Amino acid sequence: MRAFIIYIAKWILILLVLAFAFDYIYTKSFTDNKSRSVYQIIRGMKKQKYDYIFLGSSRVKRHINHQLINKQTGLKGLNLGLSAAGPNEVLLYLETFLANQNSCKNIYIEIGDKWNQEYPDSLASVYELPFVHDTTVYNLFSPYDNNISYKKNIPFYRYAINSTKIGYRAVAANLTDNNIQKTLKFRPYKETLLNTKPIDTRIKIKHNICIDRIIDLCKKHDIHLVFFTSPYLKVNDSEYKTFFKANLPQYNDFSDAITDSTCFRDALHLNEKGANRFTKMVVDSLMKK
Amino acid sequence: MLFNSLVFMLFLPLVFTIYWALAKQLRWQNLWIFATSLFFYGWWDWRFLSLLIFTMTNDFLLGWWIDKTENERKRKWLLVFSIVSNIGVLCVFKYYNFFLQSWADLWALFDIKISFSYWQMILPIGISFYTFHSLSYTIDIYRRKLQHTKDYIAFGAFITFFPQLVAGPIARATQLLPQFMKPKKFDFTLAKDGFRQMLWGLFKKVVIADTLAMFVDEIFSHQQQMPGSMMWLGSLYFAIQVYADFSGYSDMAIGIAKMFSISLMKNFSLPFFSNNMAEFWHKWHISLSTWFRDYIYIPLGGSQKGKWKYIYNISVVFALSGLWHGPKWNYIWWGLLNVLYIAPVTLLFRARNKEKSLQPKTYRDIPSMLFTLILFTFSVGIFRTESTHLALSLPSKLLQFDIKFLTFFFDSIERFALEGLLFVVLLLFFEWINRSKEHPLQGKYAEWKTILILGFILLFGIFSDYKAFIYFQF
Repeated sequence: MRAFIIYIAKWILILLVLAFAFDYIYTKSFTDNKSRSVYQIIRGMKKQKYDYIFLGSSRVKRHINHQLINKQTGLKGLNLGLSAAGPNEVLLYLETFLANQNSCKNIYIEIGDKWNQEYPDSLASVYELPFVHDTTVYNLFSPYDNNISYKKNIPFYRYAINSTKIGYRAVAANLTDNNIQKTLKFRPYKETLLNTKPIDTRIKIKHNICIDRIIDLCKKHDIHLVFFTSPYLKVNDSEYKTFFKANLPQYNDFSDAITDSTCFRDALHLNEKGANRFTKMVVDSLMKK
Repeated sequence: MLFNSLVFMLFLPLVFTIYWALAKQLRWQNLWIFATSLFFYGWWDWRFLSLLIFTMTNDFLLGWWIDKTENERKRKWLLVFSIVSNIGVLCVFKYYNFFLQSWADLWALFDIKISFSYWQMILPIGISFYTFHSLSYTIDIYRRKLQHTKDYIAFGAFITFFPQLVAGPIARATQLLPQFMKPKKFDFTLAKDGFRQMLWGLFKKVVIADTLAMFVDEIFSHQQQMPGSMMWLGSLYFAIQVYADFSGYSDMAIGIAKMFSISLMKNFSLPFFSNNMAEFWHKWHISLSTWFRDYIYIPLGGSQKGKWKYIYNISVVFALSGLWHGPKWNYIWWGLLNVLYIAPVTLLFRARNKEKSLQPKTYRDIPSMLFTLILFTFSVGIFRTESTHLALSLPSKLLQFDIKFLTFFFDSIERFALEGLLFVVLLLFFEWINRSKEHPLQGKYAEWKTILILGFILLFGIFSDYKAFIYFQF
């Protein structure tokens, strides 16, 4: 029996050694690559100057054609939208961006159905987990994620439980993919009207701590901050418009700006036709002022 | 509680340590196994513990009564009561709605509408396994192959022994019960081998089966839009998925049992290395096929009463085997398709096949093994489809080979398609080069192979979404 306990202890030790080794290799591949995901790009930016940056979810990523904006206005800017990202991710991106001594004159943040989400989004925040040892990342997870200390302290645990997103495929891509332009390339949806299920836009919390901190950060760094809502095809509640107008600085509502259903992929997203039309509207009403 | 869950990693060492601490007190050791096995089962849904205890107590009492009764007629009636009560519970919980629906469908053929109120029931996990497991006790006592036990605790430990409770192997009372009646001595070599076998099973489950499950779900959920060639790929992936999933569970169960110095029967014997489907079925889910052989096929007369009677007997066995898997007609079609595979082979080449299946496999066998794999892939696709209608439309789709294959192969599932094939090849290669062993992590370089497999589990295992073992639903 004693021999078996020693035998199992040996295997636990081997398991730990393997887990430490894989954790080190995986984390290194994520920290060394500065182009594979939006957060890796922001972490890699140092002392860059931009005229504008768009932040938000897929309603920024798929709606704002920053290549078209740069071409039309001659400004230097980026679309750093990420599918499913909410205020927590936007705050992290902004904090990291500013901590790396980058600067930006204007920041445009899309806000709408994600208002209620103070906690890290389960889909979008996975890409931040390789950097959980960074204080900024850890602090944004810790009030909301009960398992965050396990993810931080148990070697390889965070990669194992998210293997489909930050597993070996992502590591292989980290080693081979080094093209920032490819990651940030504007990719609108091509389809038209896949479904028209109304979007839940009810306001459930009166204050969003992440949004408050974003506003403070922009004030502190003298950044012109603009909030806006991208077009929706169908929503279940429109009270959010008056709420945002009363509570957010420089709020612009575009939620009814496009009503032609052929411009939508679904109730939440524009397609390519709608995205290009919307980008022109944004340029005309927000950027030419 | 799943073998591939974190909670089981806490449960197993605790049960193991106290079990061996009680090594000198057999009764307490059995009580510990019985109690922890009930806890293991109750972790999923404690309400169904009552059903498990009912089945167990019913057969314990009937076993005692049958054994004590001299009158043959009375013994027979007691056995019938045991069978009816066990199968009755199974029918109520598993097949009630299916029988009603099939009855209504039958009358609908004559334009007569019958309406029923259906029961919304949860299927108790592992019910088909423990029912058959328990039935083997009363049948073997009836056949005077076994004497009844007076020790309810040992009997409880035999029925509920947690490694095999919910997905087999379906243990026989004659083989497993005596092991709970005698004191056990810790065997380091056996425990070490059990640990490795458990790791091998875990590898098959979390690396092979769960990875392939992603592609299989994607392909079969779009069956109507998929070209036939893509359905071949989906069926092949499902064939390997179900094998890796179920044999992975069996390896883990057998491996864990070895750590407790308990021997469970082998459930898979490299079925993909079979020269024909008859041999395949001797190597796949052995505990169920031998159960059907011993308790249904042979009592029906086996192959001793002429060709037609033989075909009838294997049709009954395969239809029941299909139905055992679940209340769906595609399972029954799948079972009957296997009769078409097996009957000609057995009737025409029985002696030759028996001799050949006993010989070690060589590279010369690869063409016939590939053909067997193709036949199995064809049938298992029907098994996987989501409705009877889709099951019936699948064969014609599979028989149309189209050139859309490559386009779909590379476009619709992107990187996953190649990755899936790589896993299939990896599994079959690893099993082939270790085919002479009970499991691949034995023999020369066992330690290095175990490190490799541990690394594979960490790197390629799917832990993001614990997938229950496929056979839990049966």
